[in-house]
Amino acid sequence: MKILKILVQIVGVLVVVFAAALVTLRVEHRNADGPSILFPGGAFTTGEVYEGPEPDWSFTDDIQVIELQIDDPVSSRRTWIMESGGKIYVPSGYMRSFLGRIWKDWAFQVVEGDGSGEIRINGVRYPRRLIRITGGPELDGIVAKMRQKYAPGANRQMIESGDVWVFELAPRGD
Amino acid sequence: MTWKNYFILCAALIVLTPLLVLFVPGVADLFETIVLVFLSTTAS
Repeated sequence: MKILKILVQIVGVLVVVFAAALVTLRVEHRNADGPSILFPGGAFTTGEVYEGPEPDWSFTDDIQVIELQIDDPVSSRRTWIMESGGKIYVPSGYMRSFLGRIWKDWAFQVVEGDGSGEIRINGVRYPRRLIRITGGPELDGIVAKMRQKYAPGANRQMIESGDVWVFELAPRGD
Repeated sequence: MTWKNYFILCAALIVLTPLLVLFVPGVADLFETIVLVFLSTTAS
């Protein structure tokens, strides 16, 4: 009984510390200028907004993580980025798991809304429109880049089945 | 530990943990990295 009591108390302490840290970070980052490693942030408030012709996105091959903001509702997070055929794409994994539905709520919000958003790379902001890609010939290039940069086991099936969602970051055209 | 002391400890941790996370450099990043690794391995 004594051992059980000690175990219960240890678990309880760990739960208290974990919950307190989680709540603190979630609240702190909610309206921050951009996201943290794990928690979504608020709208981008710093950084120069890019105005000009569509950039050569091949420079993103050397960038592992970018910041992505969606506009409705406003929130931001860090995400991977793949360039293929002169266009850029962001993935969202675990979309058919229970945890994914909670963790990746932004992807559902993009699909339900108008897809408007912004990315921030090296302090420069680029207004974008997110368009979900579910199939087609461009997937081959996207998957190839995903395998090369992030996930050697990536394949078309993961995207076509809905396990992984991929969004093209198209020019906003405002 | 008596339950009274245990609950006092929990209350102290509820106060101390946010302070550590907010004001000690690296604690927040370490916590987030651990949670991210956990989510990545169990979410699928």
